[in-house]
Amino acid sequence: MFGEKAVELIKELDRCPTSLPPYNTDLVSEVNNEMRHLIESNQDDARSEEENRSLSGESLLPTIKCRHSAVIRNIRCLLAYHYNRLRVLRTMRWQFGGVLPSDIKQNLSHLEVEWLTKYSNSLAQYMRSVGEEGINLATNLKPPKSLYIEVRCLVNYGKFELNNGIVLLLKKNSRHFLPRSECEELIRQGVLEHLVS
Amino acid sequence: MYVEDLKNEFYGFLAGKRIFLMVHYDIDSICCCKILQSLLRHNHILYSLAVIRGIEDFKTAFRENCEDVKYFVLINCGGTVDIVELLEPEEDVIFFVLDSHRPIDLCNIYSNDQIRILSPPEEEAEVPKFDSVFREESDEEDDVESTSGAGSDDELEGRAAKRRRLGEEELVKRREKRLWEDNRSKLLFEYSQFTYYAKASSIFMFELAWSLNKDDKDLLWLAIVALTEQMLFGKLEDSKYNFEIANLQAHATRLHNRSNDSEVKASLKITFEKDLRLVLHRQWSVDNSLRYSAFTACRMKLWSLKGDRRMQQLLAEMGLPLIQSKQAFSSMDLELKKEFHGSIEKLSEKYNLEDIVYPTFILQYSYRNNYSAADIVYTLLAVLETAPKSKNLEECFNDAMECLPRPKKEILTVGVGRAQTLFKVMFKIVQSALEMKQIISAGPFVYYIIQEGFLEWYMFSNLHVLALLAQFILKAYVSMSRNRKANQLPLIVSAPKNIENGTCVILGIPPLCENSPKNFFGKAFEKAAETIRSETACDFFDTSYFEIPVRDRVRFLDALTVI
Repeated sequence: MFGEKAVELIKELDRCPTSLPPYNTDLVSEVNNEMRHLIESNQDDARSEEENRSLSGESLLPTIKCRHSAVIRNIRCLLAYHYNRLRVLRTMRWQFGGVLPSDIKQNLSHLEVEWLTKYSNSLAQYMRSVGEEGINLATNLKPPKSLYIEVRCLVNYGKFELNNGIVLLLKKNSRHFLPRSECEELIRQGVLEHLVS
Repeated sequence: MYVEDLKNEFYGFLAGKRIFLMVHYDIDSICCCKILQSLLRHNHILYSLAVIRGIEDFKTAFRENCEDVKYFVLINCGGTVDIVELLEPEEDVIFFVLDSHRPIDLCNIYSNDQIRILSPPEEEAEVPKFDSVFREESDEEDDVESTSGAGSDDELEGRAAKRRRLGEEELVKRREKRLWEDNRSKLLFEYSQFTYYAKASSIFMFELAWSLNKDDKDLLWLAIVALTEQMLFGKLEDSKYNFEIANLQAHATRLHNRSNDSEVKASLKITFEKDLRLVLHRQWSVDNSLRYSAFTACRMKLWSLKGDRRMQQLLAEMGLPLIQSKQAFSSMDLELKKEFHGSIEKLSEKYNLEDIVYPTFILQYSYRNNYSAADIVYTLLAVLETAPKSKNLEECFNDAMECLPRPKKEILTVGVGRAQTLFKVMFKIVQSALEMKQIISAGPFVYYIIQEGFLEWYMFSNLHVLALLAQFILKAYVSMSRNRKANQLPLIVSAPKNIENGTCVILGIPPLCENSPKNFFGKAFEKAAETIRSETACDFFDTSYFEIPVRDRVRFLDALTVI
């Protein structure tokens, strides 16, 4: 039946709504082939219809219409497939920042990679243009619960100076109560551990 | 200097400043620290926190941070030592001391501004007046001059000349001074002869939270745990315990009424109840709990065959089948479980188990977990002090911190397991000590030495575990001894501390008849160490503990008998 493969693509999207499975090149090209085949047969039929219109009472018009709607449906499915992938990709860009983990990158098609670079560029450009020194929109996607957090130091890091000039000694196993913005970087580096109480 | 108005002079004062918390390694300190943390969090006060185990840690932590921080808050540490002399801080460094160890060093009390003591002075402790302890500097200089040993010839000559000049007036003055000095040393001795504990720091902190209107049930539970800890480790008298518990009960009712109904079901609930003095019986089986609790073991002499029989008899009279008594309490038959408390209470008189019930609090957290305050204290003790050597103390501290106020299942399970082992081991130690007659009477006191290589001996190098064992041994000894005066004898226990350095820790506890936890061993230990000229490195804030090299131990005990 027509359009079955395209539905397969949609099903694939549905199966994993938040993650990116590998770009299904085979299936996409198969759908493309199917469409090409349909269009070609439509063109042939249309031509013969044009020639034989006066001869017989039978008309090929319903067949053509049926094929045509199958083509349109395939197109819609393909668009949906790509659009939704891009949408997931965009949320990932906000989540992970400019650099995506390599296992996700492998799953992208080259066009998607291109789109991502362009998107990142425009985003960066915009963030630079806001305010005097630009603003990083990607931090704090959700408002933080508190401005200060309790952290525990995991390594002997040495002295650390906060923005307001306070110096503190980060020694292994010491605990501190610090502004969230200042320790985020250290938490990511694995120097500090966030204690949730 | 005592801080009178905690709200403004302590909490208000700290607003916007960066402070450094030093927390002693015990349960009360952890509870107190948790309450303080929540208060600081409300006000966005930045802090750093370090664990302090002894005087050495105290010095190191100060040295490392003194350049960056000006305000130190000491929880259960530092009060008993002269902070200014020990740490030599800059003029502008300020210490806030909340210490339940007593007596507080006089220099700390009379320090003008640098040291601020948060707990008010107790009524019964008589702090010597300032005038009778300190004098003007010039006097002392004079004193030094006149008493300093042989100097150069010039000096000698000068002194001789001076002596000639001494008039009658001078003599009177000297006499006065001598009297004053005698009086001073007497006062100082009276003030410092006993080591004891004051009200738990957590309760002070909770009261501060209350006055700031920031108290909630979590904080109350912390205060309860701290109070229970003091009671279980014999740090305060029963009357005081009852007084404080009534106090906390009022808070519990107030906080319970304040929260609305929907909240009550899902979150934690604190109920005031009567509970049995059986260790961990909710987490253990009835049989084990009866056997290994110090209370029942001493009252029924469970280490003997006869005692064992008595226990079986008790179980039979309670109508508790043996199979049921040997399985986990939580999976016992519902009927038996419900009746358990009542039936043991009914039979308590017959089996010499009076006052087996005591008032305490039970924590209900979510639907299925019920913990009594004592269970939590024992578990925390196990988490803090019986961890295998491979785990360092900071990790234990972290575990304990995470376990409060809302118990964490995983840590708790491990802790309960370890606490059970601890009680079993303690029971075995007591049993073997009594059977082998290892508790030796040395005239004015009895002593017991835990040998190296004894089962799980490493646990007993920790202070509170050792204290628990000491109390158990003393009670067992008194209940077994034929000597009528046994309950007037204090006990000294010694356990290996550090095998590599060959040191051991020594703990003395007051006799049972005293009925007060005031401990006079601190001074005696110091004196004994002086007489035998042993090199001691005492690192403890509680002076009833002492550390000496193992090879000096016998001489040390001998010296103690003489004192």
